[in-house]
Amino acid sequence: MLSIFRDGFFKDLLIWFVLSVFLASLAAAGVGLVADAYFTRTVDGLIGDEGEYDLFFQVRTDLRDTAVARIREIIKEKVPGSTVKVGVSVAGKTAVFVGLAAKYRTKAVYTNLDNYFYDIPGSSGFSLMTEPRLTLSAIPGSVADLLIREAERISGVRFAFRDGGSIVVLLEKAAQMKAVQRALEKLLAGYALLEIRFPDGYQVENPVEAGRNLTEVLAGKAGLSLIRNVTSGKSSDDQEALMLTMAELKRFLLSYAGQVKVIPTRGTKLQPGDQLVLFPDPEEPGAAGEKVHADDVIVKVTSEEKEGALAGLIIQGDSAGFDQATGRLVGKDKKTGAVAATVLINSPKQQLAAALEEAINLLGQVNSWPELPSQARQVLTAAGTIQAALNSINGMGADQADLAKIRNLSALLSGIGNELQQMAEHLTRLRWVENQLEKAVDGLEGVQLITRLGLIPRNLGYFGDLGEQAGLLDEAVQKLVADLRTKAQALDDFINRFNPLVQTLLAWEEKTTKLAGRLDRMETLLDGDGNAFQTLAELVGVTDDSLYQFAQLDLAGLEEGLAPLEAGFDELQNNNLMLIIGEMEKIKASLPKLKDEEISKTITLLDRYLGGESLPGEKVELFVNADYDEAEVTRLVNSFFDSDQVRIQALPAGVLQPDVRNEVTRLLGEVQGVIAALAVLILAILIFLQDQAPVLAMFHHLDLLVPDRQSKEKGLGRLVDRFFPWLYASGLGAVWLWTTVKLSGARIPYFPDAYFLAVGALVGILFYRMAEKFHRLNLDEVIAGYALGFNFTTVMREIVLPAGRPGLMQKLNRRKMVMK
Amino acid sequence: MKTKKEQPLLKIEGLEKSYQKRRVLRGINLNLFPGETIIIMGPSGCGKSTLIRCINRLTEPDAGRIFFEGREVTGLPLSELLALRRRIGFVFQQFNLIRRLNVLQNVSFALRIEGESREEAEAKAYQALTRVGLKERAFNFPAELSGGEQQRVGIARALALEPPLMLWDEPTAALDPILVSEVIEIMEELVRSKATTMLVVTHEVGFASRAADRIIFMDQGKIVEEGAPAAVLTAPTSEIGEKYKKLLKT
Repeated sequence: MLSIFRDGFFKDLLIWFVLSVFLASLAAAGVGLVADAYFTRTVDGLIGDEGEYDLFFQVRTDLRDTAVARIREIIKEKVPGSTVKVGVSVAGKTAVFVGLAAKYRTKAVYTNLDNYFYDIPGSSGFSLMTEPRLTLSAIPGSVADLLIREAERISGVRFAFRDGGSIVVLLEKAAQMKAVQRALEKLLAGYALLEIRFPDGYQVENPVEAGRNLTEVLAGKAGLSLIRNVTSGKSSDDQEALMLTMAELKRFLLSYAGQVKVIPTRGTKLQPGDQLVLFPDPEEPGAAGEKVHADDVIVKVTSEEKEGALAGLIIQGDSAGFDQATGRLVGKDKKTGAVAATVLINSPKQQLAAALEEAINLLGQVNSWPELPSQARQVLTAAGTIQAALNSINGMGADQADLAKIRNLSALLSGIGNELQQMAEHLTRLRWVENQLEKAVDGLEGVQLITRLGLIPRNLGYFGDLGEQAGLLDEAVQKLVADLRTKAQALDDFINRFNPLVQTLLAWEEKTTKLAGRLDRMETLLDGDGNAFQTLAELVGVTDDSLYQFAQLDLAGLEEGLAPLEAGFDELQNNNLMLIIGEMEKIKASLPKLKDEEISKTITLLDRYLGGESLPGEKVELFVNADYDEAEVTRLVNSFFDSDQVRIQALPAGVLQPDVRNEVTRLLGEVQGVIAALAVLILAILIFLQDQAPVLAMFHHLDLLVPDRQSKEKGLGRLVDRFFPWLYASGLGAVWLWTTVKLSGARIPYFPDAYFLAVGALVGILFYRMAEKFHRLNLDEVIAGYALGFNFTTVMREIVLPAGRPGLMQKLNRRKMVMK
Repeated sequence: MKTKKEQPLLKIEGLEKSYQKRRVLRGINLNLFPGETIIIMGPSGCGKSTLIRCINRLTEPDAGRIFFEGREVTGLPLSELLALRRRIGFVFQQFNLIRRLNVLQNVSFALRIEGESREEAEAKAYQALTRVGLKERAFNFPAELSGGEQQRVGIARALALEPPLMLWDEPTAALDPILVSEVIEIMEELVRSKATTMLVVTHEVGFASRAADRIIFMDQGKIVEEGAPAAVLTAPTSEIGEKYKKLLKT
């Protein structure tokens, strides 16, 4: 087959190849350049020439005029001589550019720009676009000043300043961009951000504090000449936040789910994986062979515990309403088996709900106790009256216990009977209040348990209002508990000082009144025997000590002791007691309404997702010099946290972002390359269609020219001969496309140039396959040519190509044609 | 009829050709002497066209040998084969004219390719066109001609090269019966003038009876009868001959 090229057509093809590649490259490069020029002009039109503008505002189009007017006002006041340009409006936003007057392009002005332009209507701020500049982003705030100082030492840097979480480095000239960029890269490479993470379950109370302490431990060791604690206490990564939330959720659900303890019946051996259907009612322990229903509660044994007991999870149903049940094994046929265990269920979710309920009720009552101090005061008044009465009696010693004395005492006690009775009532009431206060404290501690369960992690920011409210509630409850404890203690003290004496006096009153009555009747009989009275007095238990104690009570001191009670209840009001109650009710309402089986399923799902993932615990971040001793640092950190599970990762100290315009230019360069590549591909298809389709179509009929018997090739030559059209088409396509791509400067990002060889080969093969569809050969003419003794070249030049589509090949061929 | 002593212009020995498993030519032997006109007749598919296409190797035979002017055609290298083809005129059933060229260009085409000047080539082309009566249509394009005229251009194109041998592959088969005669007349004139040696594949029995020196009947890839027209058409020995005899009578 190769013989066909020997008569001159090969030269035609070669000339065509060189010219077509050259022209296509030129055209593709031209298209790319035109596109580049167009986009560059568009970009310049949009954002001005390089260095023309410094600030870029996006303002609401409907507020454009107001915003521009305000910007002009600020300019007039703060940076006079600066220019404003209103750019295009897209999607309801209008671009407004501000070019600072040259004398205001100073560090002081740039640092204060936020303060100048903070109240532009319809705008949420501005972007800096001063050029030439480079930006260092993701810089920890506490080391920004250090890096600014170092950046400003670089030759070519005008100055640097902080812009949010980034450092903006302004250059003197655009030509110094590369050099400054390299210097900044070197600067960043000199530092590293050590991120120290803790595995799931490892609690660090205060990572910022931990970071500070760790910094002190590491300073000057392990080659750490510079170390700064840059721990923010906040996670910045969404994925981390998600993992953290899931871990917290799992922790909560585990605390919330019913805890199941399975105690196998004697002689029964249970294993993890076994399932038990529960019968809570001892009267109805079920029977073997019954079908397990969807509403039955089923426990799955999960692990073995001490003393033959096992732990389990409720995988179907809910434990509400019972805490103990008889468990029957569930068979493979989903039928109940023999009684296998006693199942004890501890349901924190129900306990928590009950604690909340009780706390809310009790706090409601606390709110209705403002009269408490007045009751206590009445006790004091009654006590004062009693004390005065006691003091009026002289000679109340035991040695004076005679009938008159008893009579006097009886009269006295009768006289203060009302006071005593009131005191007793008030003290009973106070005791009840004290008990309620104790209960309220218990309830509130239950509430705290909930708020601290894990639903409310330290980082409130990720959990929105609910998290924040719950956190505040936790603090308020903490304060309330402390207050209530003080009050309960004060009440307890108060009551304990009076109560025994009052009870004693009350007992006396009753007894002496009855005794005095009887004594009147018995007086004659006993005839004034002092001993008998003494005996009687002892019988009723009257001692001078009790009376003496009462008379000596420091009522003024006790009154003072009431002060915290009075102030306390006022404080309770100030603590927004009702608000706290309201929040607690909200939390009660927002407790998950999950059945145990749903909790189990959720935990299983969470485990599946979390499985194999390294859970982000709190992290400590340290900014250090990059050339530290990694192994030594690891050792010291592990030692500090007393864990070898702590993960240490060195991250770049910051990210150098290229100049926006440079980036746009680079992107435009890529666009140019891509457009050129597309142009090359289109041209390849066009050129193959116009010029190569007739040639490839002819290759389908080579046997007309060169009979099989003519082929003298052997071995590889014969193989080449046989597959000649395929090799020609794929080879030409590959070489043509690759060469044109190379010459035109076309490129597609992430698509190596070598791949164009394959694409070209595919295009060639496709065209060979489809050639006769793209170019309808007139075989009669071809056969006539062969019959007239024409060679392949003549047939191509005089018959096939002139009948084809106009193109480069036809143009070139025309020079060679005899019959023009 | 030529004597055996004369050297045949075309000699075919044991020619074989198969398409897939179908044997189209089965050991064809044939001599064609200079100035002789042989007409090959036979039913469609009997191998007539394949036979004459094998002669200039537009179709490559599987076996057998072909000699033209004493040189073996089979086995000739491509360049020599192309030169040989220029000495064998070929008239196609479908005319096979070049559509983009006018009549004059079609006829002078091969001459120009052979290197003759435009003037020389066109002069010869005019002569050929005059012989076929189409001088006036020299600047018309094939699409502007009737079928008969197109075939006459095809004949002129072959004649312009003054080939010692002309092969005719059913030259009237694609023509309306009315147009057949104008082609037949040209062919008969060529026979009469002994301008060239002709091997004609046709179904025109009348033409065969008038023009042929010999008639060959082919059937199933073999020559089944051969002889002078008077003999084979009046007292045929083959079944095919009988059929053509009947056709002649009608």
